[in-house]
Amino acid sequence: MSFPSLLGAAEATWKQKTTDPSLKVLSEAEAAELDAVTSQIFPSDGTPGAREVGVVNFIDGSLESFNSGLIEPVRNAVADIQAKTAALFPGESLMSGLGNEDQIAVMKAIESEPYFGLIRFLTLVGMFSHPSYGGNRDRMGWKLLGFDDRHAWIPPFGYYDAEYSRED
Amino acid sequence: MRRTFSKNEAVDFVVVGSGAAGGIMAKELAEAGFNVVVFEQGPYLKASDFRHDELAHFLNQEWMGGNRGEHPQTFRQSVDEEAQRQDFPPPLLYARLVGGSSVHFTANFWRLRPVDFKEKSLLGPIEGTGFADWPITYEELEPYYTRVDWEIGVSGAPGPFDPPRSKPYPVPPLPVKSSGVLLDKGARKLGLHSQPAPMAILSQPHNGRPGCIHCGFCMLYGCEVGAKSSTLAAMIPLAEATGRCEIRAESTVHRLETDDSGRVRRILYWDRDGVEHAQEAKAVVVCANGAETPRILFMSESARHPNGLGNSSGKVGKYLMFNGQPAAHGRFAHPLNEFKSASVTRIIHDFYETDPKRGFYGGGGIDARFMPGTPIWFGLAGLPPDAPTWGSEYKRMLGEFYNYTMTLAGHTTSLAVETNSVSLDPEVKDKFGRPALRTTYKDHPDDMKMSWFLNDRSREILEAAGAEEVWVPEYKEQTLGAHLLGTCRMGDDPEESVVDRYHRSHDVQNLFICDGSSMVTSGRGQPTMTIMALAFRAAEHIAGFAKRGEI
Repeated sequence: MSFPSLLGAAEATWKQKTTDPSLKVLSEAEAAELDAVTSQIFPSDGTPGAREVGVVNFIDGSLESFNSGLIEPVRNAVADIQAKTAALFPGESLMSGLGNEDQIAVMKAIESEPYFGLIRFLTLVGMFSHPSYGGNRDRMGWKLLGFDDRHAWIPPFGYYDAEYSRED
Repeated sequence: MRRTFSKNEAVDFVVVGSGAAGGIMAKELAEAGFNVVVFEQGPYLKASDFRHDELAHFLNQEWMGGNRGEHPQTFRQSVDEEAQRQDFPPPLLYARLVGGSSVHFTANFWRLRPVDFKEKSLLGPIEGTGFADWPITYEELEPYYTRVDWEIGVSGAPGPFDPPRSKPYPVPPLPVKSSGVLLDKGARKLGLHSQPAPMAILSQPHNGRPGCIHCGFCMLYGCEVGAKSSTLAAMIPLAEATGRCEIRAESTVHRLETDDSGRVRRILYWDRDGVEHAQEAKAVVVCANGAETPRILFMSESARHPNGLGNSSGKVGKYLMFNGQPAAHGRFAHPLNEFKSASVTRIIHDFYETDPKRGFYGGGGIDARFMPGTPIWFGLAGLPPDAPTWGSEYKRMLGEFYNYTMTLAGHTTSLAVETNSVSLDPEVKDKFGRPALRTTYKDHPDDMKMSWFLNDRSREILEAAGAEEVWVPEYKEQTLGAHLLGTCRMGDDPEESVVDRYHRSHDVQNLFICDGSSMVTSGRGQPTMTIMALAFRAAEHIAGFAKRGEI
């Protein structure tokens, strides 16, 4: 299965998820805003991004459990993102309602805000944590890096030690 | 059936802390025939509890302290400032579980060299520092370094600058990684000498433990097969097998109480529910690490010991040394896949000795590794400082760099400065209501120069090895350390040290201290091997004193 078709399948599934009542903590609008921000951090641009690997699903699930202390900071971040959106684009209230170029303008407006580091960290965790936490679907996040998790590996490990072990 | 001892009967020895030193102390004293209770504030985990879970590590901070918010710490650079909360990461990094930080360490095991013990005699005093000689020599400690090699388990092969050793390594070096091959290549071009890294990780079966399976979750993670040579894997089972050693985990020792004669008699601790208990003991060996050991002594103050138990010198908590930790990174044309296997396979020690011509005190070594190497951490901090932090280019760069990058990590001396210290914070309290640990630390200017010097050499080596791109983040004064050294130093002079050459308190006859706090100089990094050798040696002497009724 090629990446583009994987992308298409994942996107269809994802669009289903946003109207799915299985959102545990986030409202649909909050989930949509986080989807917009996290998808600008890891865009779907030929290879899987935050949307395909399920970053918002991860964030939502984590807010119900080990990240429950972050519900307020995340909500405040979403509120500020909406405020910045409205300030930049009068009449608009949702970043998720903007086109790509305009969303990038919002990103540039928020990247120096104190909460941006938190959103970026949550995105990274959603991309690269173990799939059992609800993100990194089908290890697509790890595949972007070329990382895999196995119990054991056998040398040679990389190009240069393989070359070294072949030299006389 | 695990042995347990009554709290009300004085056990021969209480050992506080079950880490690099405490685990060895427990096993040695129990094998010598004594009844031993080992207190460990953290839990007693097994190899099968250790998982490849980077998220759990960020969350649970097992290697930092076990839980979030329960153990706040504060930091300041000088005594003229008020210390501020520093939570993530905290200034003093150590693990809370049976085996201590030896469970999670990178496992670089460098012996100190003869020069480390007598460098002050060689170079003269350094103004404004407590630079001092050790009360023992390399030759006196060498047999115990060799015991660490064979009984804890160290893999390696001889290097060009090695100090004398009485036995070879028990197992050969770990298989070289691409980072090691590239260090080798760059070093050879520059006339430097790359050698296999001595690592406390078995490369093949030894002492009934298996060899490394190269899983890659090594630095900061517990070893799920017991190939990494923690005291949890190598010593604790032997201690318990004697039938004379109880590991009392989830028990936080907070105070040692003395009787009218001035001897330590009772150990006060909180169990996992926070209920206080007391254990009677004939003698105590404190092995709680260079941060917790001074805290226990401060918390054990009394009329007889107004500045803390055993602190007539005033040096408890002082002379804290972190070692310098500079780093340079390089990206190469072909994949290295450094996420696999143990962290380090090659090192260079060409810059170990102080060279007065450089114009500053200090020496160090460089190892080849990849850091930060796990996915989340790499996404956070692994790209060059000028790289974007979000968006398509950021995402593309992550893929272009992750498997193609290595790190040359420098490790330097840190001078003993009296104002660098661990103390009790006057305001902030931990979950038990105890004063939080407060760190005062500012790298000596020579320590900074040594780190910058190593980073310059690392850049040259990476370029000589053929890196397509090299980046060296600015190395700044440290605000945290995992090497917690010097805070209850050894010495012959009771006014300048806390314990004598046998780790006995100068003030209290039945109190011994042996862990990173004992070190007089910092070495060139990688102190755990020395801490373990000191523990083997101290245990031998302590057992001898006890047998001869000299405690």
